[in-house]
This record gives sequence, structure tokens and C-alpha cells, in this order.
Amino acid sequence: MILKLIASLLLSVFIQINRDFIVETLFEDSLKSNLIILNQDNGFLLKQRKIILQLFPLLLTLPKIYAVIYASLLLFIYFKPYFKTKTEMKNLQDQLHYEFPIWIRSIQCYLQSSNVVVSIEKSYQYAPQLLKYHLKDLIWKLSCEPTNIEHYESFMSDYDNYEIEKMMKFLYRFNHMDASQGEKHLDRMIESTGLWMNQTRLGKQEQKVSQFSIYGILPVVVVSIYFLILMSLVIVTMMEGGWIL
Amino acid sequence: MILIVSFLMISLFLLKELKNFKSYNNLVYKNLIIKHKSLVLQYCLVLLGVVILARAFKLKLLYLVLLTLLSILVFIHVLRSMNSFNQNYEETMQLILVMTHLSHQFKTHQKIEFALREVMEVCNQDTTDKLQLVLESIDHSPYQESFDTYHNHYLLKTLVTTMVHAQDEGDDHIMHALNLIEQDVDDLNNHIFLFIREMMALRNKILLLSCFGLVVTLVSQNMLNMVVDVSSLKIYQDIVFVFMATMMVFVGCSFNIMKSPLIMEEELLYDT
Repeated sequence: MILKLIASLLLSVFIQINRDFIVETLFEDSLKSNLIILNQDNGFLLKQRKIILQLFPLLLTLPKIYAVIYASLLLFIYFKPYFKTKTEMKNLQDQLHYEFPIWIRSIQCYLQSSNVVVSIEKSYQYAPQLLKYHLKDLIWKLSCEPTNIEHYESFMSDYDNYEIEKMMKFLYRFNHMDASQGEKHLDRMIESTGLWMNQTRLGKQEQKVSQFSIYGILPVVVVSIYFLILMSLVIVTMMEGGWIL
Repeated sequence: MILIVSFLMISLFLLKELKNFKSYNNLVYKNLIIKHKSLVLQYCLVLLGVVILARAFKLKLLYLVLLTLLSILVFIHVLRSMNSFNQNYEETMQLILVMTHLSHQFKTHQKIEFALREVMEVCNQDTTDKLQLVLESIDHSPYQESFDTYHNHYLLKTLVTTMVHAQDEGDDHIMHALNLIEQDVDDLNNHIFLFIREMMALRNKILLLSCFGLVVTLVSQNMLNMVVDVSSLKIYQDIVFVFMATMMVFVGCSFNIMKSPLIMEEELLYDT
């Protein structure tokens, strides 16, 4: 016991000295980038992880079963923000995947009468909320350098969406085309957006239906539980010897 | 004690539901019942069937009364879900009708106001009133903003933008652009019907499973009764009541899916 206490004490001293380094090293890269995209501060998370790390040496002093429970609890608290942020990011990416073709569709309308930069400016008013912040930035960049491909490529690149990259390249190329070429290009773009939109809509509908599909299992579960209770009651009564056959 | 509490709770919910049912859109419910009387009758019979089935489970009278009250509660919930779905469906179909007709009429008239007037001829009263507001506001605000008073769907906005461009500046390829939008509207229509079909299939599956589960339980219990008298168990009545009530709640919950909006929220655009 004393040995365990000494080991725990030594470990806590070691963690106390190196906690900043350990937390920084163990901090996941994807979590870092996700927090930036979600516009969340990582200060609180770092502080929380340091506290959890300091609580770890206590593990050595506990009996086996309690140690397992204690470690699982600490690991759960440690990784909870990571999974939470990951889910939030996934939802955001899904939302973007749905809303981006809608915005592109409006751009395609404006392209019939204006150039790419003016079309993007015009589309801002009714753009989906998620895109607005990035769009403002893009409009400002394009007003300074309208032909710079980097501005098109860097638009929402944090979200790592291939379709968005493809569409932005489409838009960039449209800048350098004559009328007849542009029309063909626009048609191809519309076709591609249509397909994208259809797939996303169907996916979202499927997701909605599958949210409710849990109700399909519940009646079977309830029937099984009912029988289980009934059978156990029958057995208990029979064991007590009070059953009249 | 538990019985009194559950009785009070169910009565309270029932009173609240009945009050809502009476005050909120009473006429709409009446129309719903008249329009879909066979369907409403079927659901009513299903719930009545569950209560009768409860009698076959040898449930006490007090529990039967409670279950009947609960079935009325579930029935009102079913009606509300059906009403919500019908309203949603009607609005969506009207939107699709407006978009298709507007595009079609614009091809003939080349003027949004004329096209809109023609569209108003084929829509229902509610949509016509909304479109009348759009028509009135067109004189003093841009087309896009005027159409916002009717609907915020992105396809309507795309259509209006295309038409405004063709009307103001002329466009040789307007037919092609409108045809592409019509294609998108058709796709939306198809997807909505697919979604409705899937929703109905899932709801029917849950209903069937619940009913099938109840019947199988009754048959199996009767077989068990040949060997031992299960109904003489101390808490038999409580278990059966909870079981029947849960199944009934599932029947009600299966209708929750009908409340889902047919047009996804992401497809609506707002000027913020």
C-alpha cells in the first residue's frame, strides 16, 4: 500500500512538472482544426484535460475494480469533448453539403447576366447562413484580385469537401470563357449541381425515416419484456409452492 | 395510489387535448374527418380493438376505463398528426403547382405579373390570397422580396431570379433556363412522393408489428393458461395494463413521423 502511495505521489509530481507538455502533445490535430472551424476556444478544454491528468495517479492507490471504473470515467471525461466536436463538425459538414448546391444554383442564375464576381456579390443576400461568413471574405478577396485562383481554391477549404472544390474551379474557369463556351460550361455545371442536390436530398430524407425506424423494434422489445416478466413471475410463484394447478 | 395518479394524469392530458382539439382549427379537423372518414374509422377501430383485446387479457374494469381514456388521447394525437401532414402536403403541392405554372405561363406571357395572375386561377383559395399579396407588393418592392411573402424555397427564388433577368434584360435562352428549373421542380416533386411513401411504409410497419405483437401475446398467454392460471398472479393486472398502454403509445408514436416537414429546412433561404 505504501509502495503504491509513493508511486502515485511520484507520478503526480512528474505530471505536475510536465503537464503542459503532455497535454499539448496529446492534443489531437483534428480537434484543434475542428475547434477553429467551429469558432470555439480551446482554453477551457486544455484546463479540463490538465485537471484530469492530475487525477490519474490516484488510480494506483485504488483496488482493481474501482481502478477500472475510475479510469473509464476519467477517459470518458477526457475524450468527451473530442467526440462532441467531431459530431458537431460532421453535422456542419452535412449541412454545408446540403446548402452549397443551393447557393451554386443561385449563382448559376446570376451568371446569365453578370460575371462571376458580380454574381457572387448578388447571391450574398439570400445565401444560406452557414456560407455567409465565408462568402463575405471571398467577396472582399475577389474585389481586390478577381482572377486569383487561390481565392477560389481556398473558399471553405477547411471543410475538406471535394464537390465544393470542384464547383469553385468551375466558377474560376467560367471567368475566362467566351459566351458560347460559357453556356456549355454553365449547362454542365447545372447538371452536376442537380445531381448533387438530388443525392443530398434523398440522403437527408432517408436519414429522417431512419430516425423513426427505432419505433419498429420497440413493439417486439416490449412483447419480449412482457413475456420475460410473466415467466419469471410464474417460476417465482411455483418455487414458493403457492401455486394451485 | 398508482391507479389514481395515472387516472388523474391521463384525464389531465385528455382534457388538455380535448380543449386544444375544440379550440384549435376545429373546422380543419372536421374537414379532415370528412375527407378521410374511412381512414379515421380504421384508426378508431384499431384503438377500439386494443381495448377489446385488453378485455380478452382479463383486465379489470378500472384498468379498462383507463385504457379507453388513453385510447381517446392517442386517437386525438393521431388526428392531429394526420392534420399536420395534410396541411403540410397541401402547402407543398401548391408550391410545386405555383412553380410549374409560373414557369409555364412566363414562357407564354414573358411578364411575371401576367404569369402570376394566370397561376392564381389554378391555385386554391389560401394560395391565391398569398399570391395576391405578392402581386400587390410587386409594385413597391423588388420581385425577390415580394415572393418572400409567399415562400422561401430556393427553387422559387431561382425561378424568380431567372424570370426577372429575362424580363429586364431579355434572354434568348430563357426557355432552356426555365426548362432546367422545371426539371429541378419535377425532381423535388418525385423526391417528396418517395419520402411520403417511405413514411407511410414505416408507419404501417410499426402499426402492424404492434397489432401482431398483441395478438401473438394473447395466443401464447392462452396456451400458457392451459397449464397455469397466469391471471391469478398478484401483479398480473398491473403488468398487462402497462404492456397494453405501452403498445398503444407506440401506435400513437408511429404517427409522429407524419409530422416531419416534406420540404427540408435547408432548402429555405432567408434574407438575414
